[in-house]
Amino acid sequence: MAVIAMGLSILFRIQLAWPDKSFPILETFLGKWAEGGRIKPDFYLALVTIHGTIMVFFVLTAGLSGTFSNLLIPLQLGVRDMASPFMNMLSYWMFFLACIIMMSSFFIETGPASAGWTVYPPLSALPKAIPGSGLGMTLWLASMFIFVASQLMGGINYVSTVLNMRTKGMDLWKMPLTIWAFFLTAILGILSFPVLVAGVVLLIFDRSFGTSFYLSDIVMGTQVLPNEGGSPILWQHLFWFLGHPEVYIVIMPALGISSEVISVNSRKPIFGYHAMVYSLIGITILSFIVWGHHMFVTGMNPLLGGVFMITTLIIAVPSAVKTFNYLATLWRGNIRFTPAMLCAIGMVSFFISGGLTGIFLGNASLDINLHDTYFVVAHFHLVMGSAAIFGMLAGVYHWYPKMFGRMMNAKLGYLHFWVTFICAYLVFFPLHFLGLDGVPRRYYAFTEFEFMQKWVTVNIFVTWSAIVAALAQVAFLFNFFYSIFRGKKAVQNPWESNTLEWTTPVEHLHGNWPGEIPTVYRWPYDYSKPGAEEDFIPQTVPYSQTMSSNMPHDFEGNAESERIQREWDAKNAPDKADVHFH
Amino acid sequence: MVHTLKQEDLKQEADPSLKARKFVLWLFVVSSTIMFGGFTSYYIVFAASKGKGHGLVLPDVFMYSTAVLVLSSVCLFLGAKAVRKQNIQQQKMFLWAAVVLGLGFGYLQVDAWSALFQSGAALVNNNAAISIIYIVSGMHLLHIFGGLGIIGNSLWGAYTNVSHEKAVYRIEIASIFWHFIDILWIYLYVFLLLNS
Amino acid sequence: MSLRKYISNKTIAALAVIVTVFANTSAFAQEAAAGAAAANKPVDMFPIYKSAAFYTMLFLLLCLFIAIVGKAITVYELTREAQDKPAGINWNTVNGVLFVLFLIVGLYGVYFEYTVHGHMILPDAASEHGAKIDQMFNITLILTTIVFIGTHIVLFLFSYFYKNSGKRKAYYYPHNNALERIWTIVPALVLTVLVLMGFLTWRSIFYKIEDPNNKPLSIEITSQQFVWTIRYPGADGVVGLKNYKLITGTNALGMDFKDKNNLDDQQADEMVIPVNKPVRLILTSKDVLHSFYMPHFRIQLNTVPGMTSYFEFTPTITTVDMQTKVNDPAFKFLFYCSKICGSGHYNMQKVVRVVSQAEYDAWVVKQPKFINNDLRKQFDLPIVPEAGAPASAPADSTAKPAKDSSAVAMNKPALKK
Repeated sequence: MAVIAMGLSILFRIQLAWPDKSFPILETFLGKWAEGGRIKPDFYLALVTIHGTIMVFFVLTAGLSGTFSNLLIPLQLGVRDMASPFMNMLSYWMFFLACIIMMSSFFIETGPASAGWTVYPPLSALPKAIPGSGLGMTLWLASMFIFVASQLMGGINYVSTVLNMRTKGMDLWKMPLTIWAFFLTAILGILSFPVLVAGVVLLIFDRSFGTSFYLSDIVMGTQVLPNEGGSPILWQHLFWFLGHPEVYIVIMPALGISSEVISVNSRKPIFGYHAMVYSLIGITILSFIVWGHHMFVTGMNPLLGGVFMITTLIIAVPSAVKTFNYLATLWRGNIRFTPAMLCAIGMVSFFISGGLTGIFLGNASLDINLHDTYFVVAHFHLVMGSAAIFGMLAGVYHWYPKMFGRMMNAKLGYLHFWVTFICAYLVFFPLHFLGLDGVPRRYYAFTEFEFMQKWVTVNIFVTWSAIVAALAQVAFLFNFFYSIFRGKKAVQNPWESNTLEWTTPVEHLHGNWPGEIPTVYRWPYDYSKPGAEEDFIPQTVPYSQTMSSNMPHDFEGNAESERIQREWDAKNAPDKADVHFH
Repeated sequence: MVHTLKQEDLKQEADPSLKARKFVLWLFVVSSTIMFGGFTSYYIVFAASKGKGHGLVLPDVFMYSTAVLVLSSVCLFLGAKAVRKQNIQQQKMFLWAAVVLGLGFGYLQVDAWSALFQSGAALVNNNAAISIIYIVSGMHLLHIFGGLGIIGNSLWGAYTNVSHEKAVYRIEIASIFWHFIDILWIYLYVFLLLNS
Repeated sequence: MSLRKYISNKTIAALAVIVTVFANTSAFAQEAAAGAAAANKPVDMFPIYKSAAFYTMLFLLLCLFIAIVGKAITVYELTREAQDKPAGINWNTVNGVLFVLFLIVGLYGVYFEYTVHGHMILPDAASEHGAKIDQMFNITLILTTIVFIGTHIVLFLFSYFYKNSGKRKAYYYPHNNALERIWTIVPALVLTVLVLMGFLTWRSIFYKIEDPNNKPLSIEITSQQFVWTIRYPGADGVVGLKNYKLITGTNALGMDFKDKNNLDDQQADEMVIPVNKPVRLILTSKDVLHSFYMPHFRIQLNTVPGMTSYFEFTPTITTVDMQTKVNDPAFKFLFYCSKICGSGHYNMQKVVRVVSQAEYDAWVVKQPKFINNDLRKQFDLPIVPEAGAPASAPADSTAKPAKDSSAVAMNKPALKK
């Protein structure tokens, strides 16, 4: 799906870069939507819409939390299988069905939904307003309905598994940050997706049964529509009540994965584990009360705008804490640049860049002029597109040996990372300035405005960067598929990591662990602990085996253990006892 | 290579899975509540911004259907008691009663719709507050059908003589869900009554 | 064991060398072929460049090149390993250095962007509140740029300095509450300042106290796919009532001419406003959501069917002044649509002209009124003689009921659907 969505984005980037040129090859592929080799405006909007929908929901939501939750929750918590494997399977197949329905809209007469990925009514409710709001929109809604059901089943399953089925010794504060992130993401999903369902149901009724939930006072041409009393703004409230948590549903797993990858490859404990968890919790809670910042200029009550501005800017605080903690984790580390680590660092970089531009948009008064311009496009592509994608890539590189029992080629990984990283910045950084010049998003061509002409050269540059970035993904895809069959055989714990998933055998087996499920004794980030022989101590190693490296706070106030440790220290390492206990 | 685990290994760990699955249902209850929360908050915002609610006297049928649903819940409660006492006969009787009452509720809801429709408050209406009565009761009815399926599963267990442990698990699942939609309906009904 | 490994490595290396050579020759052969083709038909070069096949081939060649380089590196590393020397290329160093390079080039890139593209953005705000927004923007920009540059320098330099050397052990440093508190509180304080300033700016934009001596000029903007309609209030200064149900081919806005305020309302092709006089925009939409976006004045507000929104602002710079300011005699203020609204979304603009009060007064009287005799008939109003045609009062009175019903009849088909 990611490949398809990327292909779509390349298509519309081509249109933006060369609005006047014709590409006969497009006509061969797209037929009537690109007559004479030029993409039509309607189809352009359809491309934008489907690109957004697929990327946000099908790639970043399902791809990040869906795939990695299913892989890592059982493996990192020591669980044989999810709470309800049946629901999991159902969730997977419903996702598959949703994908098919979404893609099938490309093969119908009126084309796919084209009212933007937020499908604001009335545009999305009136086939007369835009052809994509006919059957294409119906398919979109059906697909989303199934998708949400699938995500809900998945999310419910994750939460239940995390809360009920952890292995012995794995209390909540011993869970890796990945699991924390997936857990909180799933909670976000459970609490926000149902609201989208409610909104979608009402929209379906508006479209198919003639109710007036979102429609009122509409005249198409000179034809007065009968709908009265509804309000399009209410859709936006319902949509963004999901939609904003959705953004965090996308980024939080990426943050979790990066935490893990950065810690493992810096050979250092993640800095401020508790702060990391609390900031995730903070983001989770705050994300429910910030949705209004998407609606500053809808004409809603300005007082509400002020309130939402406050909550929105507050959410930058936990994000800042996370960033600084990542930097502190790198400090005096012993960094191994595996491809996963590169992607994680890239993710931090994008998270900073995109997060900072968010401070502009979260400010209601600045948003007046930046809303719906390319500034927004640049912002969310950095923070939620690039950052999340890089988190996902880090996850793939890191856990590939776990998935397929083989290693990916590191050098191709380097090539892939560097080209993608550089091109992503080349694509999205200049777009900020288009936004500052007042160029609105979702414009089919810049030809009609004189002041936009100067940006066409920038557009050409951006499009070429995008094409290069897309081609770089060939290196990744080749690496991925080639390594499944021909990659170097992986050892059991290739990254020398502490977490439980690396205690399972390389070969997959039903139930994950051949014998008893391992018991957990310590937190997952004991890297480079002074006094230990290796620079990592897996979670399954009890403190009694690491007497030389134990620290007083390891025992969480257990007096008996502390006494034993003190006695041992006094006998074997008097200097250490001095440092820690006196 | 896919190995299968030894059976005793799995059995030993069966308990947390049942508990987790029950928890799954609780989470579903939460998310479903949120969905209805979404509808009702739509209603609140709509009514607040337009300064008017649905402005109807709800048909009496809703009152009867509420009573029927409560009765059905009571039957299920008694059925659950019977399961714990391993009284299969009573279990069957009460569960059947619950199912029949549930179906009766469905019928009454449809009846209420037609009463609403005849009073001039149709689904397609320029007052979205009226349309939403249909939507919430309709979505609730979907839950009822789901709930009937779950009770049916428990009932099926009674006929196929599943183990006591399993029967208890099934009836617990059914009870949680059925009592939930019972309470949900009372909430919706009271909400609609108060916000006319 | 080691011997066997050595041999197998040797075999692999040999194989790789063969593959490399083969790949090289084939690559050369292909290039030669391409070159030959180009040499044979120099006239047809252009279509070749344009054809997708050409680019595909170019890309495949590139892949081949990467594959060759990759193999060469592998061979090199394997031979080093076979000779028991330390690994030839330290990838940690390579990546660490690349990060520093990226930092340097990136910093230059940011500088380039800020200076070159930064100069291509909107000129200074041409409205009172816009200046406040710009000030707010600049403060935010400075703060975020400092954080942006600072964190990135730290991120990439840490990546370079703390790369794995194989000799060191990382420093076990799980947390430091004081430090964490600092970087929770400092961003919180900075954001509090930003929030406060933003809040005050926001309030000053949307909560205006009307000055009785300087009453705002009301202008109504109605959006529809894909045009804007501008309505001036006329001499009475009040924009009349309208009802979407009255919209017909002749009455595009659905103005209710029973309302006296409508009789003098004027329409205009461009928005002309007097400088330094407050303007109150009344924004409505006929069909779908649009967004009224007037970036030079830092104004944006959605137009929503079934809802009226208002935005009040005071223009401070006339078009002529702006032209000299940006040194472009063709400069125009514009407003256009920024909310996706259909296939014509990308071209939905109108010109805004800010002029002196005198120019405005001269211009505004020339604008045509919405009312015409067709509409007068429809609304049973006395027909005004136009171009010498005398109006007949008796005809008017008799027409009263008939016209009424015809107006209803005209709307009926529309209402039915």
